[in-house]
Amino acid sequence: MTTEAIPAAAAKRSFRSPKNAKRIRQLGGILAVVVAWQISVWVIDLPPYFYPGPSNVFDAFIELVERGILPPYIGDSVGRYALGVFCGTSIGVLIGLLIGLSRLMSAVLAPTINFFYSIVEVAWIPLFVIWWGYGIKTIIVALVYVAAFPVLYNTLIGVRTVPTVLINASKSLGATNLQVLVNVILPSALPNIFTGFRIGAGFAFRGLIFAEMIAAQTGVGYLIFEGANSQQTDRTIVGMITIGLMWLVIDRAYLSPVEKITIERWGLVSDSK
Amino acid sequence: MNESTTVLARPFFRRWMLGLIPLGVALAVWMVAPAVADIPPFMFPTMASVLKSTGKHLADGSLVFNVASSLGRLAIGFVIGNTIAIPLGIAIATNTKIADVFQPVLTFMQSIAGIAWVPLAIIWFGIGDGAVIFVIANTIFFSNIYNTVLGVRSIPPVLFKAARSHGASEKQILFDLVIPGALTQILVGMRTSMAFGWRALVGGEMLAGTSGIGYITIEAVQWYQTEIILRGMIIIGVLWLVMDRLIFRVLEDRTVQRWGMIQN
Amino acid sequence: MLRRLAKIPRSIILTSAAILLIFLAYEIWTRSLAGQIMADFRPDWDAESQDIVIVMPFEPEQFHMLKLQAAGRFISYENKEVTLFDVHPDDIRRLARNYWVSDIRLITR
Repeated sequence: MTTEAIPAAAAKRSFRSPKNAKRIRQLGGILAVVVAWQISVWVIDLPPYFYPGPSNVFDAFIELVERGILPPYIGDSVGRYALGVFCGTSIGVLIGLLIGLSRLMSAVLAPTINFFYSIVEVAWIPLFVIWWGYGIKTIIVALVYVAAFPVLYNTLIGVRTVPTVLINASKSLGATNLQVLVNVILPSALPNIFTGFRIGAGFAFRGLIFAEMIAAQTGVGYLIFEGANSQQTDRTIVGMITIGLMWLVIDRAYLSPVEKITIERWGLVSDSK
Repeated sequence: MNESTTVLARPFFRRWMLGLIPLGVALAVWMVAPAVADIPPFMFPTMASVLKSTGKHLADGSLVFNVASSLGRLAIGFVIGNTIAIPLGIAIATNTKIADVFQPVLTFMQSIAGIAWVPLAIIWFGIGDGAVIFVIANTIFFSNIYNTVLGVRSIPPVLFKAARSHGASEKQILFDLVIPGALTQILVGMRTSMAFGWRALVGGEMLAGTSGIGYITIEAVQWYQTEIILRGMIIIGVLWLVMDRLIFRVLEDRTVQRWGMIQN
Repeated sequence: MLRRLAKIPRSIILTSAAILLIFLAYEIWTRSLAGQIMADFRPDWDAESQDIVIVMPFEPEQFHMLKLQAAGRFISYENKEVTLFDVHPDDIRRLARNYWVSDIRLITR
């Protein structure tokens, strides 16, 4: 016991521990890419609007912050995304439960839901633009749409696959319909709901960027699009890096933990639709 | 409860028919609605106008041309992206240290959505095929190199040691251990990457295209031609369903069964 | 209910708290900036609208123009100063919260 504990503790303190070595290699990878990028800019020597270097991008970042453009853009994008995913997930779960509770309704509606799930949100945007014009409404509706369908579809599957034995058993033990819903159906459908949420949140983020490019006047997607339009390519790249970082935060802080709980508590869940 | 159990117990064919009910209702409502409610055609097209414009564009071949050019771009982007991603991913992943170096960069690049590259692609390649193919290839590349690395890294290190200690050559390890071991993850990844690639195709054509199903759909917005928009949406939905169900799901099921990596 | 809340992964709670904190800090900061600008500038709060000059540390871009034009009628830009007519007092306060606004002066037509 002690012989094992001491080297482990020593390794933790040592700079050359395997974990630290891994971190250093990872940091080195990021640094190497930035350095290689800057060198390639010097070697290739193209106009900065065509091939901006890390220094241009850094300057553009500072400028965008100084001029008060980037922070409100990030705020707008985050707000739209949160609102869209929240509404979409809620609607998806609610309708999924309602339909899923009836076998007949599930059989009737499942193929239709599946079909709407297959029309990517990108394809809806032209119609939304005609209905609601270029603006926030179009973006929110597109996000709600893209977040709702995976959740709806997976909730439906989750509710349909609750073993009938469980429902019958709790009913025969005197559980009311509401109790069955809250204590039997919802918990067993939860892993599917989480799976749908993860898929929906992922597609919704891509949908947000695209919708902002087409139908917005603010937001990080708009920054990427407008930067390229006005030949301020360094701003475009600031926008791209920003959405990359935003997605990493969303994925690491919100989606991965949800995935982890699903796997830990209910075993491996099939990801495919 | 009894009544509904019998519904499920019915043969497959009849259950399948049940799913067609909403389609029938929707079609009926669509046919009757213009007569009852006063919906302007620029908000929602009549069925007749959709059929008429579809017939017209089928006859002059433009619809087939646009769908074919979209699928062509998707195929080119898919092939380019995968031919670079899979060998490179395997090369990176077989060495732990190199994998560590590349991992954060790949994670980051994969998290930049495919569509976000469209404006940059327009600057580099101009409006047209080049930009759209670049965006698809880029999306597929980063999604799949990430999954290839994950797939190879998920092979238990013990297996490498065992193979080496039995005198397997590097070539044998590559073809008999690494590729089959990573294949399931690669195929699952391919399906996901296609979902993103498909969005990149439609979105890329809308922003940077000169032809294709996405291009004609967004072009119609300018003229309020909702019949073209609606038909475009239906085609986009059906194409994805066909691709996903007939190609990827079948491929995945076969390999998963064959290699037996996932237990359900 | 509390027992259920405790099961929410820590990273979700911590990140949400961090985002909320950043948002609050930003709000407080921009409000205090507005307070500084408003301290030595007292518009007639009861007036329907006022004419103002907005001083900026740089040339306004489209982004800034959109915000300025949402507040009032754009008259002119000269030497990092934008003249706006017919701005509602509430909009003046809102403009002052932007940290790219260095100063706001009242003018008479």
